[in-house]
Amino acid sequence: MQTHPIPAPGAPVIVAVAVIYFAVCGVIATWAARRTHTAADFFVAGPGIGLWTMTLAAMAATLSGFIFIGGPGLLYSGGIGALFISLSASITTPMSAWALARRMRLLREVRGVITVPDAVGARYRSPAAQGVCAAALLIATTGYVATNLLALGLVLDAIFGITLTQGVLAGTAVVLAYSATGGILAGVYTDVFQGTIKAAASVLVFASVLHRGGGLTEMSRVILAREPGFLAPWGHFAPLAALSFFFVFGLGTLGQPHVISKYYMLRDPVQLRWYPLLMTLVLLVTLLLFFGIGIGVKASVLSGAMAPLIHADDATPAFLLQRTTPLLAAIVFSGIAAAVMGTVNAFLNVGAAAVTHDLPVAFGRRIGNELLTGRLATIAIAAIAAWLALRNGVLVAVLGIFGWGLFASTLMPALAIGLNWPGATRRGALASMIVGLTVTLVFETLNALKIYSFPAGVTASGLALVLAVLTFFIVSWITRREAPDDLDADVRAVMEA
Amino acid sequence: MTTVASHRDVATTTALAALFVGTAAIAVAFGSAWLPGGAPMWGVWCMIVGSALSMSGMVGIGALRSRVRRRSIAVAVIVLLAVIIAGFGAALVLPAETVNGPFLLGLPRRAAIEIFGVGLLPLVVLPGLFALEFRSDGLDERSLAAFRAHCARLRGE
Repeated sequence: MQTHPIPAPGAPVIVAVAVIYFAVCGVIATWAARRTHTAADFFVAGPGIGLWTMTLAAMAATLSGFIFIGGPGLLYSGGIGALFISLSASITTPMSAWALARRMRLLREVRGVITVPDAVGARYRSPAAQGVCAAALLIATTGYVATNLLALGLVLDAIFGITLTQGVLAGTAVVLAYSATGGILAGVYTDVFQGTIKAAASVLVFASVLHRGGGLTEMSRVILAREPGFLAPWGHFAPLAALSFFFVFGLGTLGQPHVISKYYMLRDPVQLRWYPLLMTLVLLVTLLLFFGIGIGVKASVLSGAMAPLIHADDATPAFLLQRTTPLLAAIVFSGIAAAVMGTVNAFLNVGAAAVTHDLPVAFGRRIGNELLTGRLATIAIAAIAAWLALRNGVLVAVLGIFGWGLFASTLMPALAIGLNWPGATRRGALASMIVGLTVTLVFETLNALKIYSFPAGVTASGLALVLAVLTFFIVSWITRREAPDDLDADVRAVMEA
Repeated sequence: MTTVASHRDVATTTALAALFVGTAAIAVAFGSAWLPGGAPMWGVWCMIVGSALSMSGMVGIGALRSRVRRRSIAVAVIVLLAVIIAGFGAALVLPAETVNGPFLLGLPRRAAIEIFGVGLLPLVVLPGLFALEFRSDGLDERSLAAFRAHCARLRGE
């Protein structure tokens, strides 16, 4: 995630495109906000959305600003091994669709569930499981939102030449303007616009990289001659580290609430047939920017066409400003801001649902007006996150790092395996979530504070996911006699439908 | 009917076992990183095989529960196992490239096998299999209404 200033573009065309871009997003958000009348509209887009809308919204939620700034920077500094973060992209969507799509969509029909912790609670007849799940999501979402608001502040600072504080506050205000009024409905329709631009910009940037670099083979030759380790199978990473990326970002995708909650939203479930194909194609097309800029900037720097970067995260801005047209640079800069805003919207929605819906349910209560409290919770989480972003950089970094791992280890076993295996038990799910939560929090914090670091190749998120899955199986096996009682007849019918 | 169900139970147990064993293998691989000198070659192989088993196991569990035909599941699982083990394994056993190559589609051979093999080859198989095997029965509005009513009865409403 971006933590230092981005080189300022300062070109009028970039400011103009950004203003137009945000104006279009504002119009779409206003239109969507007028259609938000209930908590279901706010959290799961009410009567539902079409296949293309769902695909682009899921892509926008999956690919945050990291893919445009941090990702190319990581590839530039770490080599091919950095691509292992997204190397499982053509496996994860079919895997997720087989494991979750039909069952989550039917749970929405049968139980009226509107959140991912709702599904966990329904699966195990357990408000406690729903509560633990919601608590984990709330911690992770607040951190994610804080890091993304900080990144948004830096992007707006670079585009408009304002201060970081003004950038964070302005970005928070813009995101809140549509997140608090239109909820996820506003988010998904702005994501359609943003996602389309992102995908188109990625293709154009990739074509520009190939053109500037003389083709992929020529760039490979340049890199192999001067820095062969970059194009080695694991790049500059240890083999275990690169493979750990592949595992965590592969299996862990099944636990990302901002993505899998989209399964609730599809209006016509028959259209699920084409979702994996569309989503995978859209993901891969958009990831071209990550791959292209990482490789292209490295080849340009090594051949002397570009000056060495001071910060690896400058790879994207530097390439756009030095090697593309101002218009393309303007579109991508706006796309980066849009990517961050789309992710913030999705996480604010998940966090607000945890506060207003899941945690009260866990304590046996229901809030009367979930729409109003959902809007207030959205504002509160955004305010806390913005305050964190501006006040405590270290804490923001710690919170931002463990978000993905926390989602993966707390949700993947309990939900993805649990919805497919009647032998899973409530105690297995609770134990796995607590292990995932504890291991991630303790070791990511120790690592961030430089008290304890894992050896090369081991990550807290990878270890947490592994231990959570093993705990889930072992405790479920030990308590296997309880399994039939932990599964309601209608939920079993959903699993067998 | 019972035979089909029992075959499916055996297959589900196998897929669950693959996920468990694969995850355990990854735990062993992580554990090997604490050995003096870092993770040895067998630790890396554990990670590769563990990743392949856990992901193909998860695909198998979901596909079996979605009543995908066994032949299609076998294709998906075999492709995943082969692509992950062969793709990453090739990176370990093939010699390093030079500026003169060999190149595949513009990248050094080992990196190309990873990116185009592991990264893109499943795209040709998995989403297509999903679409081919997708059952739309029970998902139209009328069937959903009947299913909602059935589930309400199961809840005693």
